[in-house]
Order: sequence, then C-alpha cells, then structure tokens
Amino acid sequence: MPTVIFKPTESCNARCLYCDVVHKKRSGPRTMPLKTLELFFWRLNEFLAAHPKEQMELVWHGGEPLLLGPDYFRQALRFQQGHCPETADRIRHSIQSNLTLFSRELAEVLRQLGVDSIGTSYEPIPNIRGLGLKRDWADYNRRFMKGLRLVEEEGFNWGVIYVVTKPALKNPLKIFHFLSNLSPKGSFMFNPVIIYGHRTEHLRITAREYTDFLGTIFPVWWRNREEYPQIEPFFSLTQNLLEKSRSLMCSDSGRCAHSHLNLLPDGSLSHCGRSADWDLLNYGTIFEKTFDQALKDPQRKILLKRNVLLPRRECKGCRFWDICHGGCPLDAWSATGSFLHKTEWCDLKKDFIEIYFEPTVHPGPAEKKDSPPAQQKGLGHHRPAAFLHTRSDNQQKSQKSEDGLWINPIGGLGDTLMISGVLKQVLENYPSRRFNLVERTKYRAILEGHPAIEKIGSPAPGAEFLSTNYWDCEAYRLPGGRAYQALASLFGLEQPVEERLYVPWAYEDDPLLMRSIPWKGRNILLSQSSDSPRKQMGIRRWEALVERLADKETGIFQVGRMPEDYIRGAYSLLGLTNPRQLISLVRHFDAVVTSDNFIMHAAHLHGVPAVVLWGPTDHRIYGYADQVHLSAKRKCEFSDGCIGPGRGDIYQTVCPRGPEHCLETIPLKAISTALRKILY
Amino acid sequence: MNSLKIICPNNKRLLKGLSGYRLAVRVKDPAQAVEAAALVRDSGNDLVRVIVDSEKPFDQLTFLEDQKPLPLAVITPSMGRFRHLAKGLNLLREMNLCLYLPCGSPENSTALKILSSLGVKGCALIGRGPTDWEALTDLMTYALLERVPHAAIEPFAFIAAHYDPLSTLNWKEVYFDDPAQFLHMDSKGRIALTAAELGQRRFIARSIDEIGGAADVPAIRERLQEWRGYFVKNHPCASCNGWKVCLGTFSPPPPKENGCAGFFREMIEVIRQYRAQKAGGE
Repeated sequence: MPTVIFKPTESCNARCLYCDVVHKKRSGPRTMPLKTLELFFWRLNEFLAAHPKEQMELVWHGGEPLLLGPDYFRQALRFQQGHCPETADRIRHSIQSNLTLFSRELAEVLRQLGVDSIGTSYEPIPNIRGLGLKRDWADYNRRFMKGLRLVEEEGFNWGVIYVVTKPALKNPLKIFHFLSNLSPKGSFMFNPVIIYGHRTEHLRITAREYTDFLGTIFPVWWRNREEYPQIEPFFSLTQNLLEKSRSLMCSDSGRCAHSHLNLLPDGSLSHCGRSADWDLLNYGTIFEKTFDQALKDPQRKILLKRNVLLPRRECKGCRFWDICHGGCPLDAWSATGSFLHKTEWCDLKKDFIEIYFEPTVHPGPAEKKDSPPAQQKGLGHHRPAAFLHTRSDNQQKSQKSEDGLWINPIGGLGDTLMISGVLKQVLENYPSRRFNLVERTKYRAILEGHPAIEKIGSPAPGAEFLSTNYWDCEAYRLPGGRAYQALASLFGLEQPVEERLYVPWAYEDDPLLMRSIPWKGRNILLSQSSDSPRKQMGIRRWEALVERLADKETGIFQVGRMPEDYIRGAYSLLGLTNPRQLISLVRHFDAVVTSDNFIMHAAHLHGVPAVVLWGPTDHRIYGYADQVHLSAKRKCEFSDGCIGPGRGDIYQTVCPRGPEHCLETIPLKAISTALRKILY
Repeated sequence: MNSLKIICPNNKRLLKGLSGYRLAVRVKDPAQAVEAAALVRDSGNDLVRVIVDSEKPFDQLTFLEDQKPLPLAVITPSMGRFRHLAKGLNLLREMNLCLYLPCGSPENSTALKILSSLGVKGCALIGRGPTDWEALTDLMTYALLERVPHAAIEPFAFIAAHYDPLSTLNWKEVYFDDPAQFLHMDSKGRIALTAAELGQRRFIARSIDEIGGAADVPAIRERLQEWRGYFVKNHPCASCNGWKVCLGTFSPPPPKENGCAGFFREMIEVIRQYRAQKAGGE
C-alpha cells in the first residue's frame, strides 16, 4: 500500500530541541493552501481510480498538523467527499501530533476522516520538548496530558514515539516505566535522536549508547512482556526473529522504493520526510506529476539497486539481512553521501540482537537443567557473538557474572572436538577471550588444557552460560547449514570458517598397546558404534565387510568401548583406550571405515582417509570434504533422516525397520571399492 | 437505583429521607448494627455494609448472634488480646465480618494473620499513618501464597483478583474510598468524595440530589483522572514500577525502594506467582 507522508503544515507550536522543522529554510508556504489541498485529493482519487485494488495510506504529519484547526480538516473531508466519492473507502488516514491542541471538535472531524489511532511523542525529561519560543516544558506537559485524556475519552487508540537523547541514558528503566505506566496497554517506540546541527550536540548519542539503552530495558520487558505495552523495536524483533513473521518498519523493509511519498505544503513531492529535509529524491510537484509518475520516478531505481548490491557487498553473509536490508537508505546517505551503503544503525541492531536479545530469549543450559539431553537437541539456546564484544561500560558488566562465561557442552565427543576447534579459532580471533568449562568427565578428557578454557569446575548460582546447542541454530537449520559453521556462529565467528579440529594436548600412545597391536602392511580401523543405534550398520554386515577386506597384508582393527558388539575377523581394541588414546591411535592407521561418530571427526583431525557410512544423518552437514561419504538410500517416512532437530526422543532407539534400516542398504562392494581406492 | 454507594452516618432522620439508594451505614459500636441495618432497609434502601468504626480494640467489642446476617466492616485500632477473642471465635467465623486494622505496627499484621488462619476475614489499612512495610510484605505473601486454608486478607485478595497489568487498578473501594463506587455523606446530607474529606468538611455537593452517576459529576471525573498529575509533574511515582497498583497513594514523599515501591513491586511479583499457582490447579 503506498504511503503519503502528508505535511500540510510545517509550522509547529513546539520547539523541541532535536527537531529541525521550524528552523528549516523554505521558499514556499508554511501551510498548504486549500487549492493545493483540493488538488491533493483529486490526485488521490486519480491514483486510486487507476488502481482499483490499491489503498493509500495518508499520514497527516507536520509541523504540528492540529495547528490547522478543525476547519481545515473539515475542508479536507469535503474535498475527499467531493473528489473521491468512489475511492474514499480506500484512503486510510492516520495522524502524528503532539496532542497539545487536541480538542473534541478535532476529535469529531478526525473520526469522520476515519482516523482511529493517533501517533504522538513525549518526553518526561524537562526542557527537551516545550511550547513556544521559550520551550515551555511545564505547559507542554499540561497540554499534552489534557490532550491525551481527551484522546482516550474520545475512544482513539494512541501510541507514542520516544526519542532517546543523552539525558535519557542516565536511567533507561525510569523512562521505560514512565511510558509503560502512562500507556499500560498501548504501544511505544524508541528512536535514537538524529542531530541536525551543532546547537543540540549535547543530545547526541552513539550507536553503542543506544544499544545499551535498549539492552537495559529489553530483559525487563521480555521477562513479563505480556504485562507491558507493545514496545518497538522489541516487539518487531520478537516477531521477526522468533516467530518468523515479518513486521518491518519502512527503514528496515527494503521496500520503500515504490511505496513512499512525501508531500510538503507547497505541493512538492519527495521520497519521504528525511529526503525532503535533505533535498534528495525530489519527484516534482503534484501540480505537474501524478502519484503514479512520482511512485515510478527513475530516481527510485537506486533504492532497488541498493537491495541488490548490499547483500553482495557490505551485508554479505549477514544473518540479519532479511530483517534489516541495510537500514534506511537516507540514513546511509546521511553518513556516507551514498545510498548504496548500509547505515551505521545496522551495527547497532546487530549488536543489540547479539548482545542483549539472543542471550535473553535463548537462555543457556543452566536455565534448562531439567530438560533431558536428548530433548535439548530440539531446543534452541544459542548465545552468539554476544559475549565476544568488549564490555566497557559498568551497566553491562553488572548484568554479567563476575565469574566469566561458562560452557556446558552437550552432544558426543565428536561435538566436543568441534567445540575445541571452534574455541581455538575464537582465541585466534579474540586473544583475550576465555571460557569456563562445567566439570563433566566426558568433556574434561578432551578439553582440559585448552588455551581458551580458563577453568573447569562448578558454576556459581546465576553464572552466565554460552550454549553449544547448534542444532537449533539458524545457521544449522538453513539449507546448506553445517554443524561446524553453526557452532562457530554461536561463538560469534564470522562464517564461513575453516573447519579445523583441535585437541589441546600432545597425542598419547600407550606403549604397551602399541607394542601389542599386530600391525601389517596396511592397517584399517573400523568403528561401528555410535551413541545412536540408528547411525550404526548391523554387525553382520561389518563382519561381511571384514571378510571382503581381509588379506595377509591388511590388518583390520576395531575400536570402541568394551560393551560394543565385536566384529568377528577384526582385531579387537574394544575397551583398551581412553578417549585421548583413541584419538591418538587413529593417526597410526592408513584408513578408517566408520559410522557418523567420534572416529569420523578424529580421522579428519589427523587427515587419515576415511570412508564414512551415512544413514539417517547427512554428510553435507557433518562430514568433511577430505573423506569418502557413502550415503544410504532412505526409504522410510523420514526422507530427511530420522535424527534431527525436534526428534531427540528417537535418537537412542533402534530403527524399527530391522533389515530394511537404511544403513543396511549400503552395498559392501561400494565400501570395499572406496577403501581400495584409498589404499592402493 | 443509582450505582453509586453512599456511606452515611447512623442518623434516623437522614436515613428516613433517603430511599432507593445503596447504603453503607456507619456506627460506633456493633450493638448499633442491627438497628441501623433495619433502618436502612426499612427506608427502602439496599444495605451494602454496616461499618463499625470503633476506637476500642477488637477484643473489647461484643458481637451477638443477631448480627450474623449483617455485612459488617469493623475498623479498630488493634486486635487486643487474643485470649479475649478465643471464646467468641466460633461466632466470629460464622459472621459476615471483616476486621480492618491499621498496619503501622508488626503486631497488627500478625493479628490479621492469626485471625485469617482462624477463618476471620481481615483487611490491612495501608497508608493510615506510618506503615511497617516489612511486616506488610510478610502479610501480603501469607495472604496470597500460603496454601494452608485461611480467610481472605484485604486489600491483597481484591488486588490479586482484579489486577490487570495492562491497566491501572484503584483498589481503594476496599476502604470505601473510591469515588467511582462510594460517596460519603454527613449527617446533614452533604457529600464528600472520601472519608478523609468528609472529616475535613470538603464537600462536593450539598445533597445527594445534586449527584447523578459518577460520570456526570465533574468533581468525581476529575478525581478519577487525578493520577495524570503525576505524569504532568514527572513525579517519581510516575516512573515507579509499582505504579499500576499504587497510583501514587503514598506520595509525597517519593517512592522508596525499602518502602512503598519495593512493597508494590513485590506484590506484583507475588500476584504472578499466585496466578501461576491457581492456573496450575493448586
């Protein structure tokens, strides 16, 4: 729906410090003459008649539009009735006003125009907003509250824009509670102040300050959000990031190119309020241009070009592109002199999401301690780059544990090898970063001594966690998503990263074991086992494989834990190694045949060639490029594999299809052929 | 019948002149309650409550079987000695009675807790003189979260039942001090908005005949919108996160973390728990 930001007057009864409208130099009239107003409605009708399925949103803006008085609005209503008899029902009026002049008379005519909601703005901090040349704050407040009361009594909805300035940074929660108390079931929106000149420099805030302002409020809002008003940008972000519905402001939509128009009192058309302020994207006047022409003005093409260029350049790989689109093109122009850049507020948005939003809405495993590990695979707790940023301000420090950030890994030892690799890369990128590891025997064996691990122990109550649950991470779930990359994203590494595994200790060979192994000319390691029976090929087929491979020059060895099924014909090393020894042992073999398990990762760690047998899981997600992947054909109801997000409950169960289990269908010949190619 | 309820003194001539109203009648002693109630009803009015406003401790008041059907609000400075009350507990439990005690002392909070545990409904008078917030917080927590059966303690039960986080709540009707619900009449028939203003002889009308519905009376309308003044002045109460339940009741002075602000913030938290308990079927 096209939107006309209609500024019938640029006069204002207020002198808000950060507003430029009354200081603007202009040659035309401050208030739109009635003749122009009439033409405007004529043009509206012309457009809507030509586009029977279109509607037009008309936002009365200013200046202060209520300065026009009820008669002006009545005249507008008459023009609409006169010129738009067939199309008036497709004109949606709304209004942005400071409410200080609101009256019952105005309420009546606004209602007749179809206005049911009024946008306003307010500032409880003294001497920022105010009436008249003296910027009378007290009088402004009195009149605003009186207007607000009338608005409510007359049955209008209302929402308030709060402009965040330097003084507001002192106590964000005070501002939040003030606005929530004033409008308990309404809505309000925070916007950072835009400074037009040096005289208001003391109000300026940095992007980081604005991020922290929002970040102080967000957890309070989030915790009991059903009890607070609809607050932007929190509400939209929640919808966009969690509920996957798109609710984007014009600045983030990337779609303003063909939808926005700004109309000034002199009849001149521009793209939007900002473009008019900065004398950019002027589309002529309504005297010579139809709305159709203005909405198809060739100057708009650059905005479309921006949508194509940014994702290839500055926004390449940004996971927030869909909800940001590089931000407002006018902001980009303001900062860089070109529309073809992203805005400085992009980083703000990203920072806010990563530092405050995601850590708040995706609590770490400590808060989910009652969930069984198998189910955690289907839960989303990821805390991305959040903690990789330097925390310089006290406010943020106070929100974090003094004890540093804890990791409580989940998943198998293969996942731990990936975590170890990612941690190493975190350290390479952010040399000062350290984490604490929750004391758990399984993971200590692999991660103890890691340079990115500060200590291993028990976290204190209230400790901060970084989740390693990549299964619910967007980078994992999207087509082409890879486990390692998703894990890296949780630690804030920019993708793609090189998929390097790492162990923080010297390889350990048990001399006794090494001496007892009957090495041959070629040595093949078999690893049949997995934490999930569904990822295992049946033992009989392994035995058949051994029969195929066995010869005098080829040693075939089986590794795993003591209780696992023995593959007859293989030399059993079951139960003879601890995890470190097992990882170390892999490097002595010429080839590995393995399920999707820990040994698959260990083979990649050492660069030992491997043939990996894939059933319900996908080598494109977990496998490595240097390996041979043999994927079974899945003929069951799970065309994408029975193991995955949301199906944690079957992870440790046996496939009910028995001999038709997908892994039973991989031809043994394919395995032996692949091995021979590796070995000979 | 007018939806407004009128609180009036136990004045025979006055009550006989009123008809078709919903009346609460004020007496000094429970002994006057039965007669006052009869007078209200005999004049063609609905009896809302008999308010016994006594300067004696509760244990010094005498309650009788014939008062059992009456809706009694008994305001006293203290409970007095429990052993004096013990023998009349069965009767008190059977009565439609609520005991109002000011909460300036931990003793009164404890008294309300004891009586509640014995099945006697109570009400903490908050904001009448100094308040022991600590004791009041304990009482509120007991009133809303204690699972052992006990009688309701107001205003907590009322607030818990009516609190809407997306609105503000005026719970002073528990104290008969909400002009949208109650008006106060003196013996000459003059009308004040609250009991305190009645005492100060600040009247809004010379007789009830001048009053239509609450929405028709400018003084009532203005009083109901008085909260906006806190926002006009940017008063600290307007930024307090206990505002939706408090509405500036305790200002001035400004809200204190270890006082009203902390109390009401905690109360909102307790209400969340209370509702979660109820939603869980407990």
